Amino acid sequence: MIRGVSARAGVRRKLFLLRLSLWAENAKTTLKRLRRNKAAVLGALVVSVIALSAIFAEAIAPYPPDEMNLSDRFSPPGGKYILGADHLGRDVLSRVLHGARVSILVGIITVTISVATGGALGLLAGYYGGWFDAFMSRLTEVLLAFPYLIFAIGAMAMLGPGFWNLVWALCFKGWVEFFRLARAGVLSEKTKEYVEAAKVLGRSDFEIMGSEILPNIVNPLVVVGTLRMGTMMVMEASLSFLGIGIPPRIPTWGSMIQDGYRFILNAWWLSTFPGLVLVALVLSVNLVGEGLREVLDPDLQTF
Amino acid sequence: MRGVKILERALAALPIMLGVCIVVFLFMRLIPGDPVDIMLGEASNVTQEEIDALRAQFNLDDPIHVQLASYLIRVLKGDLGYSISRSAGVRDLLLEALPATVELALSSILLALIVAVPLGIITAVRHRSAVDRTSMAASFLGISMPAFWLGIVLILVFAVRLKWLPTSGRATYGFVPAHVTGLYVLDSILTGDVLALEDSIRHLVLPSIALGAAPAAVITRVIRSSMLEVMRKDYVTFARAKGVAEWAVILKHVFRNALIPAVTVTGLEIGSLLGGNMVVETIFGWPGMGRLVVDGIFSRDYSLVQGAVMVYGFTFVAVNLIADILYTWLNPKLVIGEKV
Repeated sequence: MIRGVSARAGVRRKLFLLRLSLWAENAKTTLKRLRRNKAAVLGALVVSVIALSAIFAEAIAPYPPDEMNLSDRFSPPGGKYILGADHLGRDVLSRVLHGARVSILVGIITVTISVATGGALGLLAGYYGGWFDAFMSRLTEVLLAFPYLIFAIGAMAMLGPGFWNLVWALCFKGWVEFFRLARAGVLSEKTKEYVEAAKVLGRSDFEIMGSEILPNIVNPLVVVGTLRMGTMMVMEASLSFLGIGIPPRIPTWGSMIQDGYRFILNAWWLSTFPGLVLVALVLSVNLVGEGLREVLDPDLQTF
Repeated sequence: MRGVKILERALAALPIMLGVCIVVFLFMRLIPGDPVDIMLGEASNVTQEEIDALRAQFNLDDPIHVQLASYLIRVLKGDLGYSISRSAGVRDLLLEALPATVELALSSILLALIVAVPLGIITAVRHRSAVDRTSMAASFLGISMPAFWLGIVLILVFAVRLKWLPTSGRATYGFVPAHVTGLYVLDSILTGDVLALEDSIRHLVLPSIALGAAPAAVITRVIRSSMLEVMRKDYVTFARAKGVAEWAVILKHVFRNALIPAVTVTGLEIGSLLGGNMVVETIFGWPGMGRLVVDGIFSRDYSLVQGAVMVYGFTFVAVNLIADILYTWLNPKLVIGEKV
């Protein structure tokens, strides 16, 4: 009896390791094929550069992001300040570097939460069906009836500015798309023979969902997840631009563009540079996402 | 038969609209502090009895499902509440701002379609040519560019530097056309006011580009990819073999069938356009619903924000319904409600 159990545990461990190595193998071939896509490589490069400069912003930035030199207000680009100085005499370059942190963090955190919750709920709803599925599907239909930015603006109006409030406001609706992707995937997979086989072998529902179905439906989640990081960054910038996103004491590209917009008649560089970096980052993320789509799920309609 | 299907689809939109109302209501309940707290504000000389009396007066002491029911009835009657910051009914405020928003949205989507339809066709026909590559790169840029930043750049270049176009507003003071529909372009045509027409078009150009760029990019890509897909079909080869002129093959056989996904996406893009208009209206000082909402947020005018969010939701549902009905017209074989 005991021997039987331990033997089974051993098999299980071996199976798990086998799966891990398969995943690693898949990831490797994906990366290999992605490397052949020049646009995706360029995108990955730009993303890495921006991410690195965000991480090491303190070391790279020529000035602290909040340091005000009122005598240098509105210094044009060049000279003492490479990208100029703002209405309080703060260095635009330093603030752009620090602002990258918010954009990147918001992109990663909101997409991770959205993919995890949406994916898990979609798996459960698709696998079990019944009232849970019916309820969740109706709920997502209602949430889809709100344009994303309006929903986020409404949520921020209620929650008030703040980093985590912004993350929650974006996630409230962010999971819906992943729920629908995962659910549709499960519905087409769960009648297939390998799932039947796993059931006959007596594997539990959670094992079937997690280790049988999930690997087969994860590709569109990865592709859309990558693309949505760009969307979330734009959303964050839009909310911060409106002044209802990240509180003003933290430098973000959205609020920098807002500052610049107020002085649009006399200082063009204030809005231009943070906007350019934002566009570069979002564009690069999208290039990587499109590259992933070509490798992982060529038939997926993304834009 | 088709009429029944359309009616069925329209009825299916009703529960979603109900859901929209419920979500908006729940939002309102999630705000820390109810309307009474907001009304009393910092006032300190109010007794608990007076607060309770006020709550009872607004039925805020009823159980939540009773409040929900009475809220739904009010919405059904068209009562969206009272705006504290503007001292006016929310419905009247929204109705007043609606024409400006509709005009901007229409001209943006029109602009997007004028660019996207020919470009989508050309890029598909000249697949992998220089035109195709350039427009695909440009469309990628359009998708990645936040509307508000594009708007600012447009203002910087065309209004501040070149001084070709006005920076903000819907019309120069004194050039507002006589009120007919509230859409300035249409009104000035109807009243034959040439100066007002020119003025309102000049004000429309930049915000429409800012708002229409992303939908133009998305629709171009969708038309291109679905045209490419249709062009591989047998009936297209057959039409060519029959000797149908190439332009007729492209327009009548390919384009018409490729339109269906384009209609879906246009519907969805109108939705994101509604979202984008908040920032674009703010930038261009456009007196529409989007700016009303943004102002409402800053003055903590929740009933205004909720009313507007609900109207946006309803509009989006309606637009998607229209897109669904358009499918059947484009492809009579299709059953309404089926995903394409």
